[in-house]
Amino acid sequence: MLALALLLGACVETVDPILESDRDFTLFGTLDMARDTQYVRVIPIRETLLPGPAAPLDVVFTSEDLETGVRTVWRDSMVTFGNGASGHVFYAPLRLRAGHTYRIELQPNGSDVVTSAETTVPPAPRPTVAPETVTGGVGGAIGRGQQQIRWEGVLQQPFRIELWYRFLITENSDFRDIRMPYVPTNAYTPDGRLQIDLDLTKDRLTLDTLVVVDEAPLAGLGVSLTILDAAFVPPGGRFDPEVLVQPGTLSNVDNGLGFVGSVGRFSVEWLLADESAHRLRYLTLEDVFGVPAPKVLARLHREARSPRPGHHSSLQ
Amino acid sequence: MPRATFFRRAWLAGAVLGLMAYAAPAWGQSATLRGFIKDAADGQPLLGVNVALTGGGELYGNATDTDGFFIISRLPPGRYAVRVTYIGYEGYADTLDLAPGQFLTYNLELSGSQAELGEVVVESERETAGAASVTAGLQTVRPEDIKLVPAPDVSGDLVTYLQTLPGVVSTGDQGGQLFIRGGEPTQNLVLLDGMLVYQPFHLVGFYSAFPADVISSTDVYAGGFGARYGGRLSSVIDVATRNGNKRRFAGAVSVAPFVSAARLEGPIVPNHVSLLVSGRTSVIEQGAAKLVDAPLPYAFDDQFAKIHANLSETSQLSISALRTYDRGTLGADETTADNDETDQVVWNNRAIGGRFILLPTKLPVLAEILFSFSSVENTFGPRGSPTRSSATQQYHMNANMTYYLGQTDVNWGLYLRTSTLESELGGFFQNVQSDREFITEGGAYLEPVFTVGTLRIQPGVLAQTFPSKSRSFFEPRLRLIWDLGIHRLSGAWGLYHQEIVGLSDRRDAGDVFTAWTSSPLGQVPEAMHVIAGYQVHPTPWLDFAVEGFYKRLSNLSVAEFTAFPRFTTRLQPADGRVFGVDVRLELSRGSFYGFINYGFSKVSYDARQEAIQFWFGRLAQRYAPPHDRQHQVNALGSLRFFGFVLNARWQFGSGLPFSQALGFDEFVLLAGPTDVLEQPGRTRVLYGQPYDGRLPTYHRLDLSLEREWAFSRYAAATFQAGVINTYDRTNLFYIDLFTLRRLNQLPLIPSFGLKLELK
Repeated sequence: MLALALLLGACVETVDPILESDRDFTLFGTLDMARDTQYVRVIPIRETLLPGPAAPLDVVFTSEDLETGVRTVWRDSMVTFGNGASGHVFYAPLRLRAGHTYRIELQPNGSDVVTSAETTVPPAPRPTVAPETVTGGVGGAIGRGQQQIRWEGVLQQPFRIELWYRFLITENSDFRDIRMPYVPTNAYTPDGRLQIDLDLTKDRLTLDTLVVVDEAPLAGLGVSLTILDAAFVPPGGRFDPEVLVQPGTLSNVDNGLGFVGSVGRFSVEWLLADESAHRLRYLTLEDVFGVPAPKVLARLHREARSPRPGHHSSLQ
Repeated sequence: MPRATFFRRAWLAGAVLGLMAYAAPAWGQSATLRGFIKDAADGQPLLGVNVALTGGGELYGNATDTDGFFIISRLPPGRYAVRVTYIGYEGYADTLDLAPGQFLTYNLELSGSQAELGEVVVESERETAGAASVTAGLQTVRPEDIKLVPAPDVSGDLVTYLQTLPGVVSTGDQGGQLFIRGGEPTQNLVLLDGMLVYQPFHLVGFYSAFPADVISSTDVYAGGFGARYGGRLSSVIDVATRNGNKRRFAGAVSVAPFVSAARLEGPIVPNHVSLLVSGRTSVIEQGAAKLVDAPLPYAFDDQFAKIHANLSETSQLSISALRTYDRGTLGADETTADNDETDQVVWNNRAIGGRFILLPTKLPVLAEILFSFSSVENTFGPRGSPTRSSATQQYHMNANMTYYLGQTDVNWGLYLRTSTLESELGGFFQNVQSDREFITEGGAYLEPVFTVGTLRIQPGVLAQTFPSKSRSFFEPRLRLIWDLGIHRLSGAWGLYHQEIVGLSDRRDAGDVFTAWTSSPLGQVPEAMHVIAGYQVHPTPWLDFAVEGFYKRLSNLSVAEFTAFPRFTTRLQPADGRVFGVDVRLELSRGSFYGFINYGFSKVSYDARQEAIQFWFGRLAQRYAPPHDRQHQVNALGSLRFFGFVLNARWQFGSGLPFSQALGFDEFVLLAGPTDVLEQPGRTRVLYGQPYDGRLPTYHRLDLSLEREWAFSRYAAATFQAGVINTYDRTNLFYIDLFTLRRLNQLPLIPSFGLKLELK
């Protein structure tokens, strides 16, 4: 039998380097609570290293909120990237809801094969902001201040924690947010809540180098969490391209390759008491406008007809 | 080293020494006969000459080695009849009186037998010579064997014969890579007159640094090699060159479609000092490329020189030097062959060394001192601006001693080596960016050979130390040969380490660049060999041999499997194992000589790359590396008729592994929230299981017809006509997955060669 097999094999001169597969598409994308429109890259798996000429994809691309049953049809677009390459990016207006599971489906017209992925947006955690404690801060010195924020229901380590200080630029009545990364230490309390300890004094000293704190009143501060969905965890905890490039690594696509994840964005915002702000050498809204801060903010927001996210600067 | 281990090893060494002491005679009371036997015509040492002494009703005997040296020790004093015989030469007879304690140096010169000259085919003058005479992994290759293999060259080349051995896998007509019983090319120890040659095989598969015209004999250990050899995991190819003619000047020039060659030899001091100079240069672009009407952008040359001097009756000195050069582009086509941007590989070897052998006056000892310098430089990249380079140098010195104690020979030796390893890799290549290392190593071996009746037991141990690495290795070895009439059983076992490794990327068949470095993952590659063989010689014209082997390989470094379409990746640790069996049948009857052999082997690696478990769901991935050719058949026939020699060789190899792919896509790194509108992604290869596919089988028939016309006793012309790949099989060299381009081996090539020779 072996000799026969070898003999028959001896007549064959051709070889096919491409394996048969029913996986026709690769999907990459992150559905993001911060966006009103969602985007997913769709890459047809091809038999040549270099892609052929761009052509529309004859497919139906949909998403479904499995909690509500709302189904959305996405549209194709051909995007030209910065390096001159082009690719299919499907998009749809879609606002994500925390804790909801979304199913993405791509089906070529005339085919029974459905390439799909499911992602569950992280559920919304509940924040508790403890009152700040500020001591000292008299005679021109900056006081010593701390504040604690606890989040209940944070099921996995946040991808990013940021805090921001919001200042009002009085010349144009515009807000300016100064964002700072926050690196948690001993982040979880024994009862499982994420605890964020703010060092208000240290932040104040940092801000001194960035804004004219003496002229711009503090209009609020806050903390935001960026939480990836539970499946969005790279092997070894590192987003190492040499590992992630391996097909099947960090993949949740059935009948295809790639990964579609989701991102939850959650934040809490508050105001320091005027006395605490003064001890930390901040100018308050009441100092500038002569009325309590909530009234000033309400008026400014009315003028803008919507909450104003402010003009952002980041400290990374 | 743990204390218990040390004492266990010390006990082993003590036991070996004890056995030696037991075997050692009081040689002050016995006599010793020794000497060198040469060819009277040109002063060449004769290998395998039988020297027999009869006296006192006893028969004593031995055969000469590659130096023509023989020794018979522990002879009781008295009168002996000496008979010296060698097929194709006039016999010699004498009577000797040996006194107690006498060391008689008895150098002889034998003359060729006029009756048989020109017709005789020297038969197995050495027990391991011949296609079916493999003994515990060792086969000796003679120049006559090489010349039987059809090749586009009148003189022949060692590599063509090596490719007929079962268990030897080559990359075919192009690439110059030999894998021996599952080992990588960089795991082969290749020696020329004791000098290390790093990369001896030319880019075109018919040629190496060893033309048959300069070879005396070659010992090929496919595994299980003894304690004299170290530093490599897989095999040993130990080439001994012949000396130049000490009587008169001789030489040859030849031309063929691939190569032109010239050789000159002669006495510098007649009968004492000779010179041999040989050189070859490729003419592929002018010759073979036109015959196949396809670009063959390969060029190579090699030069060899050797001075040999008989310093006295009991001492000899030789100095050998070698230089080789290779340049070429594997897989070039009409569009890339002349393009300056096309990558090409260039390498050159240099080696120079001396060998001094001495017979001490009052000891039954052969002492050998070797010293050498070897280097290799290797570059890869566009012409004139290579992107990678590697340079390696080694200074080597060692002393080998053999004590002849009657039925026991005791071999021992010491060595010292220092190596410089430099790499400039212009990027990230197999974990190495640029590097410069100095490695010094020292070692000693002890390897007695006990003869008990027809059983030869050769235990050995090699101790190596690398002070700069704070590493030492203790490598026990064992070789056994048991002759039972027409049957022979043999076996070998041993442990091997390789501190200095050659890194190349086997995923890219078109790239033979090699960077030498010390063990890159901090773990020294290790191997264990087991060999068991059987031979039978049922008739004078038929030999049959079967040999099984197993190699366990540990701590290998192989390139990571990456889905990025590139060949510069990190290394991953791997272990491997090889097992197989060789079957050989050799026939020599009348004017016909032939052999057929079949080799089965299975090579598998277990790689432990982090990403493997995510792609394949296993902690380690078992795969067959790209040199796992599981079935091989080689058949060779040679027929002499009316002064012609017709040689035919058919080779068959089952398909080599290669990696298939599901296809290609783009990889977008999602390292958290990612805007896919801003990320073009990087092209990705969606490999299936590594090396899960098989290329088509390889088979080819080569023919040559040769005729020598002698103009006088000393002058001759040889004309050769031949065909490579006679039935024009489209054998695949490799398939470029990235371009889906198929690169084939050479098509049918007619070949004509002419050689003019002064003998």
